[in-house]
Amino acid sequence: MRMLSDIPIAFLMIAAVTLVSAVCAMSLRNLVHCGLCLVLTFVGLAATYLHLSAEFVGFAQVLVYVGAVAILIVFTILLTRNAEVTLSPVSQSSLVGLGIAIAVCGSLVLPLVTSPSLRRLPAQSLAPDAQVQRIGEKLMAQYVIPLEALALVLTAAMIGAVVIAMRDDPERNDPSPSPQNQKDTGSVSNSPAGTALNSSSSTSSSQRP
Amino acid sequence: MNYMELLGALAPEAIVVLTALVALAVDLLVLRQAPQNARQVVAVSITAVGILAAIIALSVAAPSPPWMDGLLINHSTTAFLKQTLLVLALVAGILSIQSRFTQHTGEYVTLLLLSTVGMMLLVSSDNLLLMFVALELTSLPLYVLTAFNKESPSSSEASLKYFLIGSLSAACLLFGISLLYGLSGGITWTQLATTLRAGSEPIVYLALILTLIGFAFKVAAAPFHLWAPDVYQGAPTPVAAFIASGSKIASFYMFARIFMAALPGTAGSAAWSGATPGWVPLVAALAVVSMILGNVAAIAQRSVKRLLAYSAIGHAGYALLAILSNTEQGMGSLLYYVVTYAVTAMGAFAVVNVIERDVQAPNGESLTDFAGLSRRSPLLSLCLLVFVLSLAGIPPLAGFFGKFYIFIATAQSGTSQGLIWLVMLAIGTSAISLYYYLQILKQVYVVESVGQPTPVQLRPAESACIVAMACTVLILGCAPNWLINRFSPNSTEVRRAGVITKPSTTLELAAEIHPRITAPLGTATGLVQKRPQFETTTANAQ
Repeated sequence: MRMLSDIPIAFLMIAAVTLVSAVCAMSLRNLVHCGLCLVLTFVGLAATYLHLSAEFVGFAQVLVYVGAVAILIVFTILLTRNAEVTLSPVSQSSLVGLGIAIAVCGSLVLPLVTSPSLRRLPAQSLAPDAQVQRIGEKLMAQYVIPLEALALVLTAAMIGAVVIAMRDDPERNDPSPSPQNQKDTGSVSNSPAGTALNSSSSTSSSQRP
Repeated sequence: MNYMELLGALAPEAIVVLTALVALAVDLLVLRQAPQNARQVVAVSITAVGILAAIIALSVAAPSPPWMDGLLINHSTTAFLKQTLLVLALVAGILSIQSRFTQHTGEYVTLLLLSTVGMMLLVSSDNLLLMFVALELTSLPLYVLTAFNKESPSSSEASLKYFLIGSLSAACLLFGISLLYGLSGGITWTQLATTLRAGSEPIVYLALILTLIGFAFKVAAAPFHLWAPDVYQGAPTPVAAFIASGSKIASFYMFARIFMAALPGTAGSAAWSGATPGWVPLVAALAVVSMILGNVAAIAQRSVKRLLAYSAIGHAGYALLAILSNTEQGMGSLLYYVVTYAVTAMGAFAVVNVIERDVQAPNGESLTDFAGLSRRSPLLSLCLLVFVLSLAGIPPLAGFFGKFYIFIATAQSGTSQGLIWLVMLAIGTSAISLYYYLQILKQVYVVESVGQPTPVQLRPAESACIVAMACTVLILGCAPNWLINRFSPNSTEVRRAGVITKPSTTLELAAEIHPRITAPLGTATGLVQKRPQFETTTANAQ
């Protein structure tokens, strides 16, 4: 049985910081504090990568998540009006949630601890041969298809975010109201069934301040 | 490494991506001021041209050897599945013409096509890395498309649920994949199949369970189905139709491939007496819960879209039977089943789309909105009759042969027909499902409509799609060989990847039940000739 003393002390410290900040990120009441705790979690993850000799991933984690995403999250929280509203995340089912979390965690950890193959692993950490140049070569040659697919995922995410966040109000967005009128006449002439919906939507939009 | 060769191999996907970008650019740059109808027609026309080009590119492409560690495989089965996915995407685009759930036509078409590209990559991947990326590319646009109806709170709610549960399932899947990678040291099917064996290692089972949970969420198998009813009901109907059809085909194909081809050593057995641990008993449990829960819960539904969602959960249970049979017949029957199911579900949703536009109820359609449909539109109700009876599995429609092949494949797999209890259960739940399917038809054909029956407004393109799908269901039911034979050439490739196939007497059983279909099936699939080879494979595996 592998003991706690076998595990490097640096890993324990990094793991503790990561876990505690992650728990704080989801349980604190002030959203800004949650965002800052999330930054600390990202830092902890980056330190874990560095500790595993995955230098490129670690630095990318620092640059992208700690540097950009975290700032974005904090900005979003501060710019939306609800920043001052403190939420109460503690619900009545928190005990049930805790029980489920412990059960899931136990069922994940138990097989990991009892599996013999994990004890066969070498004691010293394997330093992966992950120079940035080799990563780049692999990404552009062998794994160019997943790279392209990820580009498509990001495109879809960007389009989706814009569509969902965009205010669906043509009168407000369009410089002239004429397209709206054209739309109305076009749809009415084409489908008699659309008249009711259209008139109701136009009345509701006219009632809007 | 030759980028031009790669571009040639990826030509259909590249065409679809280009189409998506062109449609977006035309809509945003040229047609900004145009009326909504014109924008929809132009966007869907561009989509149709691109999809036709991609289908042609797929049909002329020569089958290429696996590309770079199985990152890209192209053979006749993947080409056919990709063509089916493209046609389904086109139908989803056509269904959205003149619907008023969104003003962002260009974005709608673009996301629809990007999701299709994800499904196409998912179908032709033999590699955990591309599998996960493609699964995300499939799902992410679908989350957004579900939220497209911004005037309806249920659309946003469904999208958020879909997104959160989908993210959770992706996390489970990623955890499982990382364990598989850590245990085997490889990410291709061949590497996984040669290294992973069921044994005393609990961690193998943990990896299996996590991977299974991820896929069970994607295919909406109970008890991981909770997103499906809300999404089917809340999403705009064309989107729901695409989620119910296209994503089902791609997810089930990948589900079957990763377990059959990559993890044959950890299969186990779900036989009634003498079950052994592995993924097969887990899939059996999912199948049992899905078949019972889906079919029983559907009885209580009053919204047809919700009813179709629960029916989809039940159908996922039947398809899981094909996966757990773990034979190449199981694979063939699964593909026949999901393809015919996808066409049928798309057709049913298309009819619901028409009715929903017709009634314009704020809370979507309900079962009573179909009352007296046979007098209001005989064509539409006839098509709905075909779709619903096919879902229920009534011969001679395609749904019957789908279930028939799956039941045979399941009953014949396993030693001494140990899986026959699952088939009995499936037949029983099929009988239950008949009740709620006939409820729909009762509304359509028996119940009188409230007030004067007014004809339903049908657009030509839409009705052409619906009639074409109904004819497809009918033709595939009358001539199932055409489709099931398409999936047989792949069998050699699947077996090479390590599927343990078992000697089978399907043909004899099929001959007893249905003499007409047996002869071409036997000669075309060559099952008889292959049988000695199966036995050696099994012997080696043991």
